[in-house]
Amino acid sequence: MENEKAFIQELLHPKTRDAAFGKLLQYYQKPLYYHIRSIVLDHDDADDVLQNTFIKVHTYLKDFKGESKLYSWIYRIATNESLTFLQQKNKRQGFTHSEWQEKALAKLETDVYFEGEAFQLQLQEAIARLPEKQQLVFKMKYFQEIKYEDMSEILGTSVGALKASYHHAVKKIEEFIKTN
Amino acid sequence: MNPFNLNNPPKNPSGFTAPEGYFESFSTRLQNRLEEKPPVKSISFWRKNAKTFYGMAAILVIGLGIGMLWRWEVQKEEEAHWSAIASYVSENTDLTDEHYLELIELQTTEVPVTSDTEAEALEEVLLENEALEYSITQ
Repeated sequence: MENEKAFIQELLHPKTRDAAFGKLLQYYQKPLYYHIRSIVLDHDDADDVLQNTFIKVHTYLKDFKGESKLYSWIYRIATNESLTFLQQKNKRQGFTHSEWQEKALAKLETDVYFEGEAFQLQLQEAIARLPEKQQLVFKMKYFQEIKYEDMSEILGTSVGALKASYHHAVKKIEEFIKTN
Repeated sequence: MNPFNLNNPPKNPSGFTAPEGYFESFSTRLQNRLEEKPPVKSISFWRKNAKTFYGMAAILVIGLGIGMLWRWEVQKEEEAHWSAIASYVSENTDLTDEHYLELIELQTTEVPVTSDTEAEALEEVLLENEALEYSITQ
């Protein structure tokens, strides 16, 4: 957003709040959907999480202190909502994270909202074999092309650690794809 | 043959898609959910600090309990102490009941305590109460 401070003021002011929130929705809904979808994999789940994310943004905007960028704050909410959603879903269904991932990947092959070719499916398989944090870093960098500095604000991890994490993830994925 | 490189395939090849018209209808659906969102429940001061109040009440009850128990113990000790004295006195003295009665009377007799008359008054009391003089000298 061009003038973030002014936009935040619009979001906080009762007279301009609704219009500004509509603008925010238009601006963020697509990138946030794909960010969330890359974590939860299923479209219906992504839809639930996206709605919850915007509801939280709407509810807690008044508490936004401007200590981080609005973009990072919204992405942090979306990321936390996605991870919490998965934890709760797995707890309800009695799955471990890897069991859920295996099932979600199998479902992806027949998912009408996944138009990936064989390579994309193989890439998802390779990602699923990474540790959780590396998966997140890889998805955010590779699919969303989020800058390390922004990612650092979103995940609360140093830029150096993120770079190392991404580097390890790339090596492991390339290795997996080469051998499979 | 070139080794496999993640940057060779086209960028952003996630393969995920959304249903047609999904983003166009999203804001309307979200608006509906925002409107039906239950109001934020306000938690009363008492409910918010319930743990503190329960803790304070528990401390108060325990404190009172300990106080009462301590008082009861002291009272029991005092009773035992006075009954021991009474039984000691009754076993180790040859005072008769009349002497006791006179002693009790003596306790209620007002003794003047001003410094000028102190010695004189004591003398007077001793003269009037022969039993007391007897118990002191025995």
